[in-house]
Amino acid sequence: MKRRGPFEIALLAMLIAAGTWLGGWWAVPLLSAGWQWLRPGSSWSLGVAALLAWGGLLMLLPPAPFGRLLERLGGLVSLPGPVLLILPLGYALLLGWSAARVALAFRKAGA
Amino acid sequence: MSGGRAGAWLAAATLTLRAGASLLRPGPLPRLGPLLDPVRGIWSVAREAELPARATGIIPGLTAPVTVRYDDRAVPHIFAATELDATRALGYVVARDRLFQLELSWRAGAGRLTELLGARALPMDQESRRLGLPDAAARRLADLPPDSPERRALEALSDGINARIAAAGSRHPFEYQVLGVAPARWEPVNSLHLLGRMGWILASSDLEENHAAAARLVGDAAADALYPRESPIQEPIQPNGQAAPRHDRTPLPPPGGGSTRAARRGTMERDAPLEADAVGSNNWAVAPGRTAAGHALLAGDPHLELSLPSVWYEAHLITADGLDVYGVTLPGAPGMVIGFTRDLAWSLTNTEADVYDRYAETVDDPAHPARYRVDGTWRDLRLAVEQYLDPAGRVVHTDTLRYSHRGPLLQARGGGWESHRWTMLEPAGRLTLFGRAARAATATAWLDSMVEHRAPAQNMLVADRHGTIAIRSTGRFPVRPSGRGDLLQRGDSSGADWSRDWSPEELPQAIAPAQGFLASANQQPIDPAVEPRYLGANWYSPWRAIRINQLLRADSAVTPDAMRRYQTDPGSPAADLFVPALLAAAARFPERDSVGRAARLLAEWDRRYTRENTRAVLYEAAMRALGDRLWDELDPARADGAVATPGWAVTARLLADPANPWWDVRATTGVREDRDRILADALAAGLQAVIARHGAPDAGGWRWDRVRHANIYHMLRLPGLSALRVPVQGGQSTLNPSSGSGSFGPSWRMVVELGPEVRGWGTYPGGQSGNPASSRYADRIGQWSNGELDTLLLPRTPDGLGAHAGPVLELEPAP
Repeated sequence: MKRRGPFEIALLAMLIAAGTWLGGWWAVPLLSAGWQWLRPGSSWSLGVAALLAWGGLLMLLPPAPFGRLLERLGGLVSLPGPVLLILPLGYALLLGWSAARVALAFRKAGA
Repeated sequence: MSGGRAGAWLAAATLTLRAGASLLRPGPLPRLGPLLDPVRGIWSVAREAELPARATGIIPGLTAPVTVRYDDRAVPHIFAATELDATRALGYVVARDRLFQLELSWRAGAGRLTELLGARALPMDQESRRLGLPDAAARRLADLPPDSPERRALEALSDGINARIAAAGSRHPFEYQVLGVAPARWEPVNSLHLLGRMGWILASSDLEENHAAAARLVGDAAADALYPRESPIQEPIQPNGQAAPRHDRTPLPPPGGGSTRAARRGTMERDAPLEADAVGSNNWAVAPGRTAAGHALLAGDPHLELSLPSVWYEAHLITADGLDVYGVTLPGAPGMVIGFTRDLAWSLTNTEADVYDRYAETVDDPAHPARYRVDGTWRDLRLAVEQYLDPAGRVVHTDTLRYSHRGPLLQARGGGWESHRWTMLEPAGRLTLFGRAARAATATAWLDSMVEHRAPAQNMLVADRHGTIAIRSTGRFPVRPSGRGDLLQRGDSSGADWSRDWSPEELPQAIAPAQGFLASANQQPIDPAVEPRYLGANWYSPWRAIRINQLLRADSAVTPDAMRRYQTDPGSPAADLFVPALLAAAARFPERDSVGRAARLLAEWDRRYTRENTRAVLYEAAMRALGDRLWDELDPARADGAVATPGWAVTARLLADPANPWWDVRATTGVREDRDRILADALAAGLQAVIARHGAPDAGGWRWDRVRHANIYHMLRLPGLSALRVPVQGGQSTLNPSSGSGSFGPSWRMVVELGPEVRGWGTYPGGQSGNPASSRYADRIGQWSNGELDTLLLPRTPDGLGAHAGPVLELEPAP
């Protein structure tokens, strides 16, 4: 499977981040699948791009309130707050990867 | 199957699961996609957590721009052209900080929590609807003419709240994200819903049930004495000219056989009663002649359920047409409920009068009544079919509600049907009274402005800059033809209906009393020796009132700081009374080592509930053991339901009668215990219980701050968002009361000095913001726990906050 270069992943990450900002979480599967359809390659790299996109968006949040929020949410599930970052980042990774993988399968089936 | 194909299937399954969980609600969980979205999801509440330095907003209906200047405690100072504009702005800022609280509050009163929380909220919804709260709110709104000040105020508040909901768009507060729902549009009736629920908290009663349950076990005369119409210790709100509390030391009627008069009846299931004397509110005022600076002083601390966010929201309203009021408002209601102006200050405590009666009705069909009989003729019941919906709009339950001319008709637990008549369900006072009263310049003018207030009845204390202090128990107090409201009334005669209300002149009150101070703490408002008519029964034991009066009698140069310290004073008149009795009783049994040891430990206590004391825990355990032994005749198992524990003032009355049959424990046949035997047994049992639970006396586990805490729960009782095990200085019956689950307590503390320039101090347990990511979510809890107060700022202009100035919000009319 063709590997994607850092530039492509960064570009994809920015695209997914912009898509999420403008359209919501749907941007992740749509853009991942669409990109995979147009430029087949590693599905995992699309997942990583989605992870980077959402990670970047989370970094745009004001740090102090975000930290307090993580701490309180962690208190809800008796875990250290930062552990909860796994949730959005893992969600983006798996969503991007799975959408890309399915798109790839369809593309192959169609070819 | 190849690895590539397996991967594709796995990916497809993952995608299906992810998308499914994102689009649909996986069980009780919210949709994952919207929840985890870093822009609009749960994380986005961090973006809304702090106020930007400058912000703007648009509110339809504003007649002129409004400037909101926050101070460094996140209190909005609202500068508006008119009171209605200020109300619109108040709605906007409250919704910005407390939107979910608003939604939960009105839904609780409307009986529509299931639409937000699902079927688990059905019992609470049924309670509200069966009580007739939403029905009363709807009727009250319908009765308001379109141009009435009340309706305009409700609509103005709605304008502000809805403007904020619209401005927030999809950026919903935390709780909405977790629940996966969006805020509902605010309607004017919502304010009435939340006030109705507050009325239920403040002005409901189960006197008839308490009395009937006890009478079934011990007879009517004993039940009358256990839940007396006249408090056995008199320290009334309206001064009675005495320099000390008056104790009733006459013998308590002995327990008798069960009453035949008290039929086996009961009404709705209620929560277990709170520990006797556990909660309440305080307010007191001191005239200039007894203060160090020669200015009147006022203190107030209403005790309510503690929650995050707080039940109160602090704000300052300044209008070009002369309103300038600082205080706390109930989020979702117009006006400042407790606060001060540049001329006067006021605070409220609950009157605890009996404003709720039950009538046994004769109905045509015991299973499905449609008519009830009064004065020999049948009258139609008003029927209403109520549907309870879940968040998806599906019907989860249906009820048929019935109303007689008295109020809602409810099935009694023991059979039969009862009408419930309650002042909260009938035409109430005007909602705008607090706004009107805030324009008064003197204490008497303030009281006169509030005289139309009907329910929930409140002890309204006010002090002004001229040095006048005054108090009036204000509200609707019904007169019963039978002379009593603590017994189930006959419903088949209109002669049992309330005949009239107490007139304003008859209300318990005092203006500029000779003693130079006034205090209320939910005690019986007026000495029955002065006014014998029935006003209520089973009054709070007046320990807090006694303590306030002790402190104020002893201090002829009161300062604002002393007022603050008194609010968390650890002294306990109850302990002052019972500890010597326990020790004296123990001395009669020198042969009992366990009693002697317990007495030695208890004697080491200075009877103050300080955080570091290590003996209050023994006293409280001994008192619990005493209650178990003393009131064994009221065993709930025998009563077929809960029987309220008589107040400690009743126990105090018994202390004077060492051989009274109440001291005898029925389970011990052949032995007749007396007072000292029971007190000594209780002391020994208390010690045993404390050691079992907290270890050896001086091993550290007896420290009060390890034993007693305030527990301030988030509204959804999410532990991570709650402040639990907050240490407190105080215990049962102290001015800073704490008992039971620790979830009740002082919800707002305020001290005001009415000098040439009014000065105020205050705090509440929580913070201005309901956003858990905000630095203002729980920032005042430490200060509240320590009994400290903030200086309250009273700028005259938006630029008047100086170094305390915070963000600015400019609100404009819709173009």
